Amino acid sequence: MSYQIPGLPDMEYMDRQKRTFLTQIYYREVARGVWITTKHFFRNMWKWMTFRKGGVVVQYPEETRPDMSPNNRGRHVLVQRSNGESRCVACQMCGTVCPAECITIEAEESKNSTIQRKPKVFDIDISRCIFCGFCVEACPVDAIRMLASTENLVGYNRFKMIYDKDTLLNWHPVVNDDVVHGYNP
Amino acid sequence: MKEVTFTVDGKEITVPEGTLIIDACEENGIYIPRFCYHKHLFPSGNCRMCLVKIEKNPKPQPSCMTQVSDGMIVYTDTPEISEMRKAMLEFVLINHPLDCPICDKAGECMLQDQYMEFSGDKSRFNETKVAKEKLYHFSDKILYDAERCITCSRCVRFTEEVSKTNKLGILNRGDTSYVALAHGDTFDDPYSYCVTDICPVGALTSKKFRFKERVWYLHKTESICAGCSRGCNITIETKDNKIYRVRPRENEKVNQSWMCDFARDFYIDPMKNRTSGTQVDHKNVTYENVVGEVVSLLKEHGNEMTFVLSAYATNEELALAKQLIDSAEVKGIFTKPDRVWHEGSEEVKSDDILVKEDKTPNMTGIRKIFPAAKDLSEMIISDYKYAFVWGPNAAVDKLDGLQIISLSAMRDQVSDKAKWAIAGRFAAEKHGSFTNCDGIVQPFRRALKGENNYDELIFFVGILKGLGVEPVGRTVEEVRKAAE
Repeated sequence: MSYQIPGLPDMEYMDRQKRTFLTQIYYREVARGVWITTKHFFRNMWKWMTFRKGGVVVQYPEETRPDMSPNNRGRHVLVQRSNGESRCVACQMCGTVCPAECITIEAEESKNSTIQRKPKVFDIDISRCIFCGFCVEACPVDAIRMLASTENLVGYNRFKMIYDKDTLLNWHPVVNDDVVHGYNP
Repeated sequence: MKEVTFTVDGKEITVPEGTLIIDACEENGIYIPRFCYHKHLFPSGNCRMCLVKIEKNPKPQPSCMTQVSDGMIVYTDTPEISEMRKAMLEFVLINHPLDCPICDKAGECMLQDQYMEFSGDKSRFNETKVAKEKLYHFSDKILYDAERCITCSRCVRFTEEVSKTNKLGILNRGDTSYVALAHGDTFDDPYSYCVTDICPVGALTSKKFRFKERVWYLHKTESICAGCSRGCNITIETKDNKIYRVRPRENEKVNQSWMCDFARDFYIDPMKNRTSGTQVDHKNVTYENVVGEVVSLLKEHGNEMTFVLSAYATNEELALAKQLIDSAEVKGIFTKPDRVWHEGSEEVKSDDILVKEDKTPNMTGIRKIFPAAKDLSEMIISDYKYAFVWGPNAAVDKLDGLQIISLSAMRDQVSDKAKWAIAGRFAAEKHGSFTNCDGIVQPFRRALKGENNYDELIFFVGILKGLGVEPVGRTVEEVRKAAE
């Protein structure tokens, strides 16, 4: 198949396989597909029998993969100030950059006049999130981070998968100077 | 007027004598960055952002203070000038707090825009920035942040030249200077929100809009203010069918760049007591039923009916209403001063700047289309049996003993008393045009989705069809075209 673009010479844009008798009867291709499936079945079987990894599908969320990268982009958390409040100033950078539009923020006046602005609502719809990490990159005050773990990102209905501010603030890491003495934006 | 020709970046431009270089360039598509210069304020030339190179002039000149002369050769884009712009931005940013994440101006800030366009340099300032007052309450409407302020003096010149209250001034010198009120004074100016629009940075912000929404999410609709007969050009900014703020739009002939505080407030607080649906004898019925009943009323009792016009109606609706009145041979046509949004609020009567005594937007349009319309107070009730009352706030005692058809966006005594009640829309919910006090016809677009599925225009088209008359148009555009 070729098509003509006005102003350009007639060119073949796709490298298609030629139709031959063997491709047209299909049986050879069907047999090839069955062979690939069977090959992987025996390969995974062999891995499982010799206790090697990658053999069987992980039964998420009951079990998680042990070989997850430490740089994996998993669950979102909100970083806290030393008084337990969120570091977020509700600037909407994450909500603006989010390609899945899953972040909802409403700002309100903070009692602390040096902070001025804090989130009243901070919801992440985890069922819509594509875990791209743009929100973490966009945040000017390092208020949102992503943990490596993907534990329990499940829910029986889609409203349970909207994480509100309290859920996201439920992160108590090992004492870390950066987190305990959070900086003042 | 005498015209002069001069050259900018190798381009020959002819403008009237006395034009400033910055204006002449902007009219011809060359944008010169500026902070302190504003088209409708007297130039002060203190920000030094608009410096240009003029041939045979030893030093760069501020283009907002220099008038064009014949044969002048101006350069706005030499390496020397761009270096100067970078240096000026660096000066401005030395003590600027960079709290864009918590600043309401972020997204429409001139400092942000011009930094991105003309500089982009990293800060070399390692010392401590000068700390100033962050929350200076000018009034219950305006909040001032002295750290963000670049002391361009636009707001000061605004109170001196436009609102003429002389409330603001700049105190101290150098990096400790800030805008201040007289001791113990408040900034109670009927045009005070204008300073938040003209402020090039986020130093002066509106308390009503504070932290409500980021500006880049707001959908902007060009509209005309319905607060008084001046017809100020405005931009209604909405998100999710809710008005967040209203800002003036530039129009040299009507409102320059200004708008009163009063109108901004009533657009944000939605109109209370709205009517909804269609009722006959206080029972909800379908829209088609009501149109049918009104059509049969007009057919049978057209000559016993009086038509009370609304000065909130658009010119297009009035054109259809005129067709209706002519074809149904309705006898008396009256108007009324229906001032719905001015109830229960501190009212500015009128002033020399913008606010007019007549608080309705389209009284001039009524006078043009219905020259014979009289005021409602001149009506003699015994002449009529039915009254078609359009718009709220008709004097209810003037309509005693009449059967009322009410077409109104707002609930009041008349719509409660009406036998046939039809809900209407208010100005931000429909397309149309208003004729302002000077006779300028100004079109506007719909900013909000109305609660009802129909507006007054559709209602009149339905009635005209029921009467067997072909309406001059079924949409605003068609009616406008037919009127031309």
